[in-house]
Amino acid sequence: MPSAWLSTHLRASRPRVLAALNRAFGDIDVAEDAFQEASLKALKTWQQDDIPKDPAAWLIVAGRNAGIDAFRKKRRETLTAPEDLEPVHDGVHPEEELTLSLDRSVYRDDVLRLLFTCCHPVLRRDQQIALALKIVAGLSVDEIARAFLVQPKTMEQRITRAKKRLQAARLRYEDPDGAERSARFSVVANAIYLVFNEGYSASQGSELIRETLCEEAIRLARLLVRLFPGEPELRGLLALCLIQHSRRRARLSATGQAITLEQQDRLQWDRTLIAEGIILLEAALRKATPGPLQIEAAIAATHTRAARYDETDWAELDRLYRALEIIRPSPVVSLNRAVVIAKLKGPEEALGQLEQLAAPLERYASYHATTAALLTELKQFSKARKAYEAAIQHAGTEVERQHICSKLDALRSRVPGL
Amino acid sequence: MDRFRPSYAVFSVPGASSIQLGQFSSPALSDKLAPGRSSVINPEDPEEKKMLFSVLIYASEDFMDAVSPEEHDEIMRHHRAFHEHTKGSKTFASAIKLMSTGTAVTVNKESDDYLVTDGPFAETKEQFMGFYLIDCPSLEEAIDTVKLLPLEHGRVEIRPVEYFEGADFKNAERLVIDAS
Repeated sequence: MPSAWLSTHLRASRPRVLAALNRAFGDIDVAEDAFQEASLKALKTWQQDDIPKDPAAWLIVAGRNAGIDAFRKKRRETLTAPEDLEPVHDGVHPEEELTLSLDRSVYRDDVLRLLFTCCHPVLRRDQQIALALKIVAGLSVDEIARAFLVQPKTMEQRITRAKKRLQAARLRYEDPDGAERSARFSVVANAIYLVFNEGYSASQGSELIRETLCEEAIRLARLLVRLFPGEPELRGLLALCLIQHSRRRARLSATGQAITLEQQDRLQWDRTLIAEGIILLEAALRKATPGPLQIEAAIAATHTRAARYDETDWAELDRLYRALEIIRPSPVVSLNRAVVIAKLKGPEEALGQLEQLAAPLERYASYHATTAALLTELKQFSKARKAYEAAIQHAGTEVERQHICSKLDALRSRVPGL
Repeated sequence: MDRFRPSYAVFSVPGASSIQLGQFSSPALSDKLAPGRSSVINPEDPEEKKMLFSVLIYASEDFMDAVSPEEHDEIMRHHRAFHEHTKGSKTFASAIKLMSTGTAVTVNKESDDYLVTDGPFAETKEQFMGFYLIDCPSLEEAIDTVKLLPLEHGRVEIRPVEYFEGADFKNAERLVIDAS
């Protein structure tokens, strides 16, 4: 048990320590190595009953010293370390004086810089996710590879290439001004939501590792909300993740089949997470600066307010999707709104909206499945069948494919000879 | 993520137990903690000497976010023991688990303006003085309600409660315990 608690301390301290080391050395690779060294030292030094009062500060000191050692080994004969990289006093509990000097605002900026580096727009989305999971959350390459169903070697290469791309871009970090800062928040929030979605949306990979992704995303979102409570989109991000995650037990059947919102047993939704999500959203909305994540969280919250599917407040959902269409237009948003319109005004009206989305969503299984369901309502069965077949063709995962197949089977048994 | 992050404030009420810290120079701990056992301080009137204690729990949220389900169970084992002990000795009054600090807002007053800032109250210059539990339909209403407090002389943090256990405060008879 002792070693388990130690590794939990290491895990908890990781973002803060890596962020500080990344600032000190200006290089993620050096910072990671230094963190590794510091962790080894901690495992040797810390005793179960004598963990430093501020483990993160202890690790920062040890990591700095390890990094400086490495730096000196490289240039032993020629140069001494720069003045500001002198080793810090390294006694039994050297963290206390450092803790005093570690300004909270410096720490906040460190973490933002680290996350922004990992989620930098020069990186592809899959690279952003991989780097955030590897560097900030501290997942192993094997774990990340399993989550994405690729070979560990492939994932290793993806991460190496991402780091090279960062170096090639020669990122510079002046203190960001207001607008720049808010752009960074948005990049980081989106990347964390990608991590969450990777774990949440349908299942490739084992359920366990997918849940890990969701929980890591929530942990990062919590960290950010703690550091920047005044950023409503970050609270929106956390609210959205918590409310989505509250449905995790209701979303898949015992045999791993997807269960739609309509069919889910709402008693299985985790009310604790929903309560926290809703209050976070309310706190965010007080700022009156709506953003896409806040609106998505509001949509998720609206669903949780209905005790049964047929008590859903479709008019409110229509207003929220309309807001989302304005603030972050996308064909997928319009598709979701069409589903709401079907509830409010009937399938014909909704199909009219869907026609305009045919081109951009041609390869999107949900588009065809939605069309098929509306056509079925209108008793246009053979058109519906064709739409289901298109949906099956474009299904991204096995769970999704099976789900659509079962719909088509249901249609076939309803309309013999189809 | 449905882990129970233990940050309760637990109050003891007068009951059968008579643990009263600070009255003896060095009594055996097992003596003090024996459930139902009386180490009565004032034999004439034990009830009068009762004192309510708030037990405020501090922990790092970074750490609590990182604990594994097994570690979480281990932490909860201690809390269950605390519940069992205090309920067995009738010292239990209520248990309150607060939501994460991410849900907090802080209200203060400058000249005539109320200022609501996001996040918990994080200053160390002021000390924790006490708290109210209020039951409001929304955060907005909670904020309006706390404006009745003398905010010129301090600030209040509003933090939603995730878990409450205690007497039915809406229907129960009023109980006042005034140490002064």
